[in-house]
Amino acid sequence: MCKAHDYLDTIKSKGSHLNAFLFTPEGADVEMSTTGPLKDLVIAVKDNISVKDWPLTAGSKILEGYIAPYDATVIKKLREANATLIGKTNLDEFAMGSSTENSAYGVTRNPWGQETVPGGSSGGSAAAVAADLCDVSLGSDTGGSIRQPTAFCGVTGLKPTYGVVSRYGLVALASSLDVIGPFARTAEQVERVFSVIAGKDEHDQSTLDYQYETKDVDIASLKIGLPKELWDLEIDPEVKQTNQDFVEWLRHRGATISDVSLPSLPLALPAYYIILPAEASANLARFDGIRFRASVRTSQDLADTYRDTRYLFGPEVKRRILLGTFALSVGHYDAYYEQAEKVRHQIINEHKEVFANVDLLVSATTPTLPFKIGERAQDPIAMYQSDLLTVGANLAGIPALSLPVGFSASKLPIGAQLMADRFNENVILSVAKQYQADTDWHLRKPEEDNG
Amino acid sequence: MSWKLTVGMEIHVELETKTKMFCSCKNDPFHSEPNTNVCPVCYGLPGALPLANKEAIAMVVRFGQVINAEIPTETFWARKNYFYPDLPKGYQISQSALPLVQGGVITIDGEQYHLDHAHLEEDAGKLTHSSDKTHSLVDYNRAGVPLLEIVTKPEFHSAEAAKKFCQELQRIMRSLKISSADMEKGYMRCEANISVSKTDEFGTKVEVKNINSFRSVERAINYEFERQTKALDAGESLVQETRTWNDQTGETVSMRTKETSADYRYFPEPDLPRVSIELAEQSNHLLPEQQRGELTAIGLSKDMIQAVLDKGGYKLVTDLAAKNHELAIDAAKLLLAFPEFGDRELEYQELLVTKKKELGLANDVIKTLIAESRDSNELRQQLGAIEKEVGDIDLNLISHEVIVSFPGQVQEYKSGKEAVLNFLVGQAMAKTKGRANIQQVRQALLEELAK
Repeated sequence: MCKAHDYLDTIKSKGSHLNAFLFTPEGADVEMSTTGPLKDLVIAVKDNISVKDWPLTAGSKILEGYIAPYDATVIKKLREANATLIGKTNLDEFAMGSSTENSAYGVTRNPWGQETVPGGSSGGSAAAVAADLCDVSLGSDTGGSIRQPTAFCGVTGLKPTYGVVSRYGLVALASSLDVIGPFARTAEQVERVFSVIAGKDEHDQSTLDYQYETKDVDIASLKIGLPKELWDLEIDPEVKQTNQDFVEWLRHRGATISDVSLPSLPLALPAYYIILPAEASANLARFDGIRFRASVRTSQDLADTYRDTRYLFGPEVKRRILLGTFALSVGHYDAYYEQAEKVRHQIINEHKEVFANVDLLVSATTPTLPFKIGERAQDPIAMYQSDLLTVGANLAGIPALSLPVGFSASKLPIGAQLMADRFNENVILSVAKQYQADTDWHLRKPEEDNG
Repeated sequence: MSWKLTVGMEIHVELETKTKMFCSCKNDPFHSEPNTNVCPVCYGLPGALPLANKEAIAMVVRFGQVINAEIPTETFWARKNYFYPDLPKGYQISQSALPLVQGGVITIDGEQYHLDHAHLEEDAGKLTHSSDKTHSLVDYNRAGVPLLEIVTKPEFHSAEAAKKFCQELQRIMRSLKISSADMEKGYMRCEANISVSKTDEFGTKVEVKNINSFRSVERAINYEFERQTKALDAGESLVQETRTWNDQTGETVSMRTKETSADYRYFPEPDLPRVSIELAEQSNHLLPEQQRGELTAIGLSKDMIQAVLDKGGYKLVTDLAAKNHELAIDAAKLLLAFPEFGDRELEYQELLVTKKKELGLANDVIKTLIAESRDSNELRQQLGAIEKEVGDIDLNLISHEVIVSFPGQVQEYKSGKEAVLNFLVGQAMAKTKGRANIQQVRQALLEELAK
């Protein structure tokens, strides 16, 4: 029995109640390699990434029964590095959500609290790492979908610079914001997987010339900014205090800490909720019932086919398709999409300016502790607030990492977010590794803490 | 006052690049088994991403340059959103605010016609509807084929002018080796925007689609002119609508009115970077109109000029004219008389024209030669055989035989009826099976008659 088979057993036995996985291969099909840079890593994949001959649902009924005929570029790179793939993880439908409650295949439970959400949309990937169902997992982050579940599940997760990891094979949500990134218990493992999946891809013209190089950063030489617009938000007192403790650790290690301002950040969330639905409304148009889910078709004519098919989308997906369609319509484009693009450019410029003066930005990853299942499901605006601290990095296209920095009195994990200028993943990862050498938050496991 | 017709044309041309517009599938929509030139990109599978084809962009830029259009230094792709079963992604990657070709002029027999713009986009798949209306089949070989859409200003005031413009466009596409622009095969598809008015203001615009031959361009426009003027004369009003041309009935039928027309919700394609364009040195490519000027100067008739241009014989004729003016005229005559001759390589053409003159080859010999020799090597062999045969022909002997065989005619000639000589020459030529040089035959006969 190798480690991968142990994981497969755990996923099916004591891990099954979490509903973290939507698909696992037969044990006989899983074999670990003895050579290659990732030979020791067992990796789970968010089920919006195409793995050849495996189902790809994107958490939606509309893709039920679809078997992907090709490997995403990140999967190809993992295979070339001899990583072992162990299955597909649960997510909010088409990655729209912050709790996995929007998955058509049921909610994933947070290993730190059965009635608590794992965050989303990559909730399955975060929960799988937290519950020791794999070593590493891949997720995707469009507005916080890696970092927020990372924080809620007490693991480490990186949203890379936009354009550094190929999107070829990732089911598109908002193409100009989507990035694939790794989750792991440690920053060191995140770094190992990131260095393998990063780089220019001939199948994705939005990728940039880039090769990851690890770096040892002297924290004493770092200038760290605390964005006023993020720290001034209404943040849960325990989350805020724990993040202040993290800043104190940085200060203690010699970093120069200062308050900085990114005046347009309060506009990030409204702009994001225009750009994302606009792009998503086009990206999801292919699921019209002509080529996917052909078997359920009983419609008499073309209009019927379209009508019958769209009921397969969940409410959040329908909401965003409607929003996006509206925002792009004649007479509304200028007022919504174009304004949102202006905000995005302003945010990019403000980040450029701020990174001329500081090396890193630090904030909490989420404004609240992990919330209860059902608590926000009926209130989309409250749900959208989960992204308040994370969307800025997506609009700016910069790398951001979340790592565990403490626990609440209720024993729920709390995350801190590190952001750097584009391509400076190595600075973020170096600081995270040094922090994890000094602390053990990232090593705590749910069973122990939950008693 | 009489009705004035105004027509603007929208013409789609499929570019004959090696590969499709946004993937590396073979661009061969007409000769392959259905759904064989396909991949995740042109199928629109989840996660697939487009890659822009530089060859297609270069072709369009070249077209723009030769018609003196403005070419932007940078442009971008846009998504045009609409649903149809032949459109795999639910949107077409096209261009919006910054088309590759802006303006431009095409001159035909001194008359100038202006383009509004021309832009590059991808074609959709091809639908085949079953005759019992139970199903339709989709062939995605055509999905993603590069398509140039050319939009003219509303400057045509006769159906014939519009038809001539389409024919001229075909010549330009062929001369630039961009496309065969064959309408019957669907490489070129025309739509006409037609209105009638008694004043300088435009009347109600009616768009006619599905015009599949040059003849239909003329017929459809004439039909619409009749239909619209008749309705207006009868006091009816016209609605802005889209109609389809039916070639069998010779009528147009309403498809949809303006009220139900689509809002395409264009927005910049986030999967593709912006395209920057560096213009190459202006090549001195001559448009058909300029070639017409040159050929007129050589002394070719209008019919001959048309044949030379349609057969791509411009270079042959002008090259020969530089050496020997008579040979150039001969070449034009051959192009007019033998359609297949136009398809042969330049070396072949030049050889045949030269030898025709030198050996005095008759038309039926030429016909056999063209039919039996496909390249210049074969032609050279056949000509060699003829030359040898001709060399072996004893013209004195043949002349003698003719004179002996037709004593009556010889008597007539000798009594002053010189026209009879032609009859005798004809008989002598027949004996050489048309191989001999007619001038030499005449000479030999005259010598023999003088004896």
